[in-house]
Amino acid sequence: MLGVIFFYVFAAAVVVGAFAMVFTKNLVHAALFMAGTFLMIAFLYILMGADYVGAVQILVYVGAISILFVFGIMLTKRDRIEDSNRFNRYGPAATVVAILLFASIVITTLGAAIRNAPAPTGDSTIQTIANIFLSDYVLAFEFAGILLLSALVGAIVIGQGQLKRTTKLRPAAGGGVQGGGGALGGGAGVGLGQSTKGGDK
Amino acid sequence: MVGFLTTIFNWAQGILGLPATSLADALPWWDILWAFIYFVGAVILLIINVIMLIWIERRAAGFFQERVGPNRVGPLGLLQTVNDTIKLLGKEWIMPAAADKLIYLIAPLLIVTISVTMYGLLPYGPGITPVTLNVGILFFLAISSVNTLSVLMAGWGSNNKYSLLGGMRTVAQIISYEIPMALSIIGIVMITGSLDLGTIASSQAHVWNVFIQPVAFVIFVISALAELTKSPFDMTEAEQEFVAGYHTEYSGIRFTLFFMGEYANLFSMSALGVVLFFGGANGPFLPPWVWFIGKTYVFILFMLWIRWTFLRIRVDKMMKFNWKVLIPISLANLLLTGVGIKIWQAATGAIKW
Repeated sequence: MLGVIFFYVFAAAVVVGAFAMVFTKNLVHAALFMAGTFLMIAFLYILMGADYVGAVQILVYVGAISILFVFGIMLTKRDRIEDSNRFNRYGPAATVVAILLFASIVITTLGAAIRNAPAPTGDSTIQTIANIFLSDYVLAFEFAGILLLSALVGAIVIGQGQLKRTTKLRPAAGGGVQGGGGALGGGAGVGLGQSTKGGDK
Repeated sequence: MVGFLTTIFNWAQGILGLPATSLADALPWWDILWAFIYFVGAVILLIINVIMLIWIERRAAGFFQERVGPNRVGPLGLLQTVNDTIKLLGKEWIMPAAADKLIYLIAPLLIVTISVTMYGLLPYGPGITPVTLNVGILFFLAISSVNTLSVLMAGWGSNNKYSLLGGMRTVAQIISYEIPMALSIIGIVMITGSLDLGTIASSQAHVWNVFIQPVAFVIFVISALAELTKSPFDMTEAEQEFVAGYHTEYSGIRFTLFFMGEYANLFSMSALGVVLFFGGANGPFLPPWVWFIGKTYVFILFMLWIRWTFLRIRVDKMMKFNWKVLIPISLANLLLTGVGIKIWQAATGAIKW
């Protein structure tokens, strides 16, 4: 009873947040709406008993990706933050892609394989997930690890190359901070130590 | 707590001569009522804690710096914080004209919301854990990582160069130091075999984890200080560099909310340390929650001791220290822990070669 009420509240928040993210003109607002949507989706997962997925959703998407995204926006050089959501321009193409994606999701979720899948048994979802990860899907699990490691090494190599080339600071743009990201210096990427603090170098 | 109320309820039923029913059947909105009670409890605990912590911090700072500290209002200056809070609430609200209004207004609310959520996850003792999740520790870390978002929102919403720089610095710092913190916690999770905070606390009935995982404890304390943006990692409010960091443009009650969030997080992070390394609510003679709160306050005093002893380190050195020292050490600690667990299991006959 209570769960149903909460489900509709969160589901409505997800839909509203997603639409607001797409239609807002301001890129920072769009990123924040996206973070809110991710948070609400995490609550939906927890409501459905998938608490591990919910916690990871918050940890990975809300905690890290939104922040990386906001960093990216702030470090891009734009004159005005209004109309900075450049994806607003690709209306027709985006509509087609969105409809196709939505149709494929609906077809997949209404398919028999997912609907007839047994609900997880027992209290702990973690043990079930761990058993599956380290037995049936151990190869995919290890491949994902190697992929992430190579991405990490690649990011370090690219970051170091940039560090040698760009030592000079860009002149700061006048006025408020939202006027231009130039005031923040030329650092790129959040992950790796010095490159984050481009302005201090 | 629930058991206590049930006893009272059954006793009242006996007196009134009603047919015996369970409490949950008698009250249809039982779950909501409990959620509400726990929520109010968490908020009250948060407010009392913040008031106490600010007083303790100022007195401790006075002690460490060989001065007196606030001692005029009330006995030992205990009412000084109440006084200051009333003063702050009465101050004018000033909002920069060019602020991104909605973001500027939501940021302080978000920070307090996150703190209350974190208070709801802590095991104050057997039977008084507001929310028991079997992924408790993961959810705790996840919620605390949302803190970065509110700091960034405050920095961006103020539309002030120094605020934004402070906010960005905080985010870089918190995201970086989350990694060694999580790695130091994984070792304990491997030993306990559970992510539930209550189980982790009760598994230390005989030996505290701080004796099994001393390296992880040191890493945890360092990264907790960095997560809380406390000195020697208080780069976010380095007055010489940018006025007060992300909350430069906040005044009155909104500034109070940021202040509250900061001290509330000091308590919840110390409580997490107590749960992970000092046996949570375990202890003889006294009720469990007294042990929990007492241990947490000792841990807080330890953090304050560090805070008022060390100097602020430079921002690039802080980053270098994290990526080149803390993370390699915590990874090595994780490897050692894994090998150690296997050797222990072989020695006690839990696994066969």
